[in-house]
Amino acid sequence: MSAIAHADDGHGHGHDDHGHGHDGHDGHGHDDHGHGDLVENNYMKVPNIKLAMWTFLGSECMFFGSLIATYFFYLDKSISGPLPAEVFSIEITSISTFVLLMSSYTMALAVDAMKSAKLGKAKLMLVLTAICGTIFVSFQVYEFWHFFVEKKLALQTSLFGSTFYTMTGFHGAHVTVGVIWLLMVAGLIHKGNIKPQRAVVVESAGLYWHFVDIVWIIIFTFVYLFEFAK
Amino acid sequence: MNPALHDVASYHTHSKLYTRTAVILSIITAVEIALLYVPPLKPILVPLMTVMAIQKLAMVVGTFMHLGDDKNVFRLVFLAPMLMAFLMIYVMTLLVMPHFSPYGGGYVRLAAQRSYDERMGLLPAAAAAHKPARSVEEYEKLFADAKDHGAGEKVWGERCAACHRADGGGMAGLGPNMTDDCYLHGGKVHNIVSTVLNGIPGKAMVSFKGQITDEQIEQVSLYVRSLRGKNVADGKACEGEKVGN
Ligand code: HEC
Repeated sequence: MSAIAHADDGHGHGHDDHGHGHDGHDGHGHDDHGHGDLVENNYMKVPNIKLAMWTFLGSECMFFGSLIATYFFYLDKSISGPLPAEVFSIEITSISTFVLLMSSYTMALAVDAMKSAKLGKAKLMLVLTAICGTIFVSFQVYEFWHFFVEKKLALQTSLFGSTFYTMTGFHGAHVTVGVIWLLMVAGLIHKGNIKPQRAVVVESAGLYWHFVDIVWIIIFTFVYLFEFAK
Repeated sequence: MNPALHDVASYHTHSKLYTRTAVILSIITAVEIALLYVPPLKPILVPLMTVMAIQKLAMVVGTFMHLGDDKNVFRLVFLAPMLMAFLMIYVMTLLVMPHFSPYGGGYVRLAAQRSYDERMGLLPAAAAAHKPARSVEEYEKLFADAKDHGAGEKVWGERCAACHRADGGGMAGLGPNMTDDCYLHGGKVHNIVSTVLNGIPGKAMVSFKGQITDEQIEQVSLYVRSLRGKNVADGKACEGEKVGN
């Protein structure tokens, strides 16, 4: 059950009586989602910030879709090595994949804790999620370094190099942005700037995080595993 | 009543559901990786893994992101572009890409890239030593037009059969099978000419440049190409990459 579901029934609940005043007050600070989009009702009776997030993620689908399609379009077209099968390490990538997958779990728990007004747990889960994200990015930095220094695969080396680094690099950048975002959200909860009634702020950050995870689910299977499966 | 505000009092935790989902996601991922080590499954691995990946994606989106029990408008703005993205990947990868020859057309300056690699010392020295006389397309055309490989077959019998067997089936520890669809160094006539010209550094396959004439190298290479797909009895198992036609 989400905040939205309650909104639909049209009846006021005790907790919602904080109303505009409270919310407006809390809306200041670094939380640049502002209070406007939270307070303001709209035609579809959904929180604007959440609608905005889903729409943004829709455009992100096309963004990563293009990068993945381009990678496959030029796959097996490189005329100089190293080729994917020579550089990929399933063992290492499996570990980082697992870490990212688990971060989606902690993220879901963070939102759940926020909605249950367990602020301490919410903060802990957000920080855990950010740590998992950092581990994932560290693995990627190691991977890139290994490819670049030891396997002599640069961005300009081959079509594989160009398309691979662009695709996975943008994904890693998304994870990095997500880590910073989650830490900021945890900080705002800590300072009391995000109350459980405004869990939608945490939920929206969570949507972004889960999205980044599903992009990796696709990249891991299609790009890494398929290389050894065909 | 403000739809943007969450009602704490009537919220019931989902943590059990999330835990269950996380466990299932982990299991699917573990199975996916384990499948790589089951050789008999190889032919169906790609479709199988695709299904598993989509299943994981659906679980994250449906359960963690709650798209399943949320508003329609969210499904519209997210799932429609996602469908388009998958469609694009499918069309580009499986429908368009196979018709795109990296050597023809003006799309990619592969030649320029190759010279870059040579400059950077990224190509093995031997590979750069002797260049085949004709372009990839010219060789393919030559092969397509060739009716008789008698001369090439003769060279093969004298020079190559010792390692690759008279019928091209290959020999254990020596030359690979030429009658299957697999190649270690590429299956275009151009690749074959290049292999015979330069040999494979560190392998028994030596350079034939100067040992036989360039014309004989061309003839025997066309003959080798004509062996593909004959799949002679007890030939050596596939080595390298399978090529299509
Ligand atoms: C002394 C043994 C030997 C002789 C003689 C020999 N080859 Fe080879 N050939 C090999 C070996 C071994 C390989 C595999 C190289 C590798 O593993 O990279 C090979 C590979 C090849 C390949 C590449 C196959 C692939 O899978 O891409 C071609 C083409 C080829 N040989 C053609 C010839 C031709 C034509 C002749 C005769 C002119 C010849 N070979 C004579 C041992 C030999």
